[in-house]
Amino acid sequence: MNRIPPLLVLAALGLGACQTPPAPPPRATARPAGPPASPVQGAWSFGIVGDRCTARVTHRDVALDVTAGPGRRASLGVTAPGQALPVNGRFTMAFQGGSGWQLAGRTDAQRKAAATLALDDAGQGRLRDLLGGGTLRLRGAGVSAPPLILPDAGVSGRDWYGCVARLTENEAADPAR
Amino acid sequence: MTVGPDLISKSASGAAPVPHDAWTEARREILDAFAAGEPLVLLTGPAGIGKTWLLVDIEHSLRTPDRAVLRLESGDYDAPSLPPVLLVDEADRLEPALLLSWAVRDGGFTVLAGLPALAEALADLPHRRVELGPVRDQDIPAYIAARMQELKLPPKPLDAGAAEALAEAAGGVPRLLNLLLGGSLLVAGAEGSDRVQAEHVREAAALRSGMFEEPPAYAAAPVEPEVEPEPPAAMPEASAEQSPVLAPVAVKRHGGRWALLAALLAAGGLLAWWAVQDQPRPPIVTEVAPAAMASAPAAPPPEATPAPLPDAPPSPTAGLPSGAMVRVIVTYPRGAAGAARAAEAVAALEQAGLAVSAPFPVTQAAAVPRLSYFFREDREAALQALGKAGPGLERAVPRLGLLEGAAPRPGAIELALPDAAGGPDAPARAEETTEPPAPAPAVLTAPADGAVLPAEAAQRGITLSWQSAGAEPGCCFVEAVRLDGGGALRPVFAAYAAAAGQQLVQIGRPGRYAWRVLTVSRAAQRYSASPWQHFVLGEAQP
Repeated sequence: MNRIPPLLVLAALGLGACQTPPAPPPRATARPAGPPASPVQGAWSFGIVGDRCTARVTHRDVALDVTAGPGRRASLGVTAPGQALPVNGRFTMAFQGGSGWQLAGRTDAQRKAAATLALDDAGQGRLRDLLGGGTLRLRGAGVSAPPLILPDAGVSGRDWYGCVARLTENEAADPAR
Repeated sequence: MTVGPDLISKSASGAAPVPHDAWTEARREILDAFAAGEPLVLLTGPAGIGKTWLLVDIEHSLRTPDRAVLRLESGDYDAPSLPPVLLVDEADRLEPALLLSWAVRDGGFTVLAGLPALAEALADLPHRRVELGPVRDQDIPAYIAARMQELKLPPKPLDAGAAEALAEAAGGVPRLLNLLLGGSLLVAGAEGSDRVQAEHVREAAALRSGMFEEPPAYAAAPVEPEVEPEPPAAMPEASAEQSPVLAPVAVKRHGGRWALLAALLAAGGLLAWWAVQDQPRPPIVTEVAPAAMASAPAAPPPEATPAPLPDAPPSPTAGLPSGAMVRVIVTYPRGAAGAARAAEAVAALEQAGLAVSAPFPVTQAAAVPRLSYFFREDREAALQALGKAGPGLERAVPRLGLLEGAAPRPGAIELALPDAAGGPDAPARAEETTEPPAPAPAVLTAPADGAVLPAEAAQRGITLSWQSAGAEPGCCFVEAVRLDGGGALRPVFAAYAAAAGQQLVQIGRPGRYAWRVLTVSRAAQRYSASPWQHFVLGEAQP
């Protein structure tokens, strides 16, 4: 059996002593606030999928998904590539258009922001506001997604709103649904 | 188009669907035999039971670009070779030698259909025998409802006793059911009754029995003629089927059968008149109820079509619109006064049978009432909507609105109520001297028409595929509707396709569905609709 030369052992020990200790795991910190991102303008698309009315405003840097139904609830989801939204954080969704309003929401582990909206008169009014056009901003720690400009959804959006209205009509006619 | 009485069982009253199980079972058996590589099937059943239409369905189910299918309505075929799939109706009329040669041919799949006596002629040959049974009693009400909807007849409620009487008198034979249904409606109408009662059915059955001396019921009629009788020329069955052109014929209740016979014959003439008068009727199609649907404005006025075959089962997609489903969107200037005016307009439009979206408030209203359509095919529908929008809107001129942003769905029409103060008018597309051509309709490729998909597909989604040669990107508006969801059409998907040539659709539960693609040209502001196709997700519910 070959013996390891003592000089080689010493050299290895010396090299090991020169290594720096491993870096501590990075702490989850909010990204430093940079200059505010410029607003970007999205484009609407609409659909009816089963008992849900779906709408989407897309831009490569941020997208808004609106899903109304089933029942008298709607969800507003915002996604953005990269780390423009934090993990498991809180945020405020602020819209300014025909009228202004705010919603509180949370992001999940996949950095998707979500807020819910009851489809009562006020909630329906807010959906109409979105369809009428304006600017949607997310505010909160770690949020760097740019404001999203929603164009007037036009006749397509007003047609789609009929789908939303039917949800509430159906629910009123048959609350057990 | 695949057809079959089991494939549409939508009750006009919105009752639960009740498919025609016997037809489904026979169809499944034939397809199973084909899948198993069996060479010969004998399809037997009494006259009028629906063998012909089952063969038509099988033909469409088995035909592919790579597989030829030949369906013969009789034995008149003298070509030297036969295709891989041969379907022969009225095979009991064939010369015995020819029948035998087709029954034993190599390398193909053959279905020979005929009266039950056909089985005796081929008893010595290995084959699978499929007996097509009658519509079962529990399926009769749904069959009647579907039949009336298929023929686009005005609703005529049947008493429960009437349905039972029909079931008893017809014995579940579709042809007899169709005849007796028409006769019963006529008798009821002749008496001025707005409901069909059991006695009307019995009167019609007695009348028919007296006229044609045929056994009325499948179960009670073991006598099987050698060939299927042709419908008598004196009273085409289609006339009887469609006879509820219920003019108040002055026939006394007990005035004798001759009076009723005269009324039946008169009804045939009335039916022809009605059919001609009915074709150019309002082309507006709404999403309110399938019964209210008609051809789209763009569709050419259909010519008077021949009467359906006597025992033709209703097509699953019958009653679905060939054009876009028109929906009117009403906008109004924000405020209580505008909302009230919008509510009036919506009520007037709905009363006229149009589908109307919830009125939508806008900040900047138009200076004058404005009615916009966005595809040229919808102009006629817009004109008709204008005539029904209520007073005060006479100044509105239908015009082709500009497509800005997301394209609306075909059939969208917008009625903009004006602001008293008057606002800016929205731009319209300049008139053009020549109308650009419409895009070519899409060709639906999958799932195949009439396909039965496994129930698991409800969970993983169904990919609808089509070909739309030369279409613009983002061209294609996909519609999928549930067929057996009750009275109103239930859209399960309606959106522009996210990808070219296909769309994944999540459908939550088994049932029958129809789908199609409307190919849109933004540049031309025109669209064309593919024909509807249907599929069954999971087995038809018993």
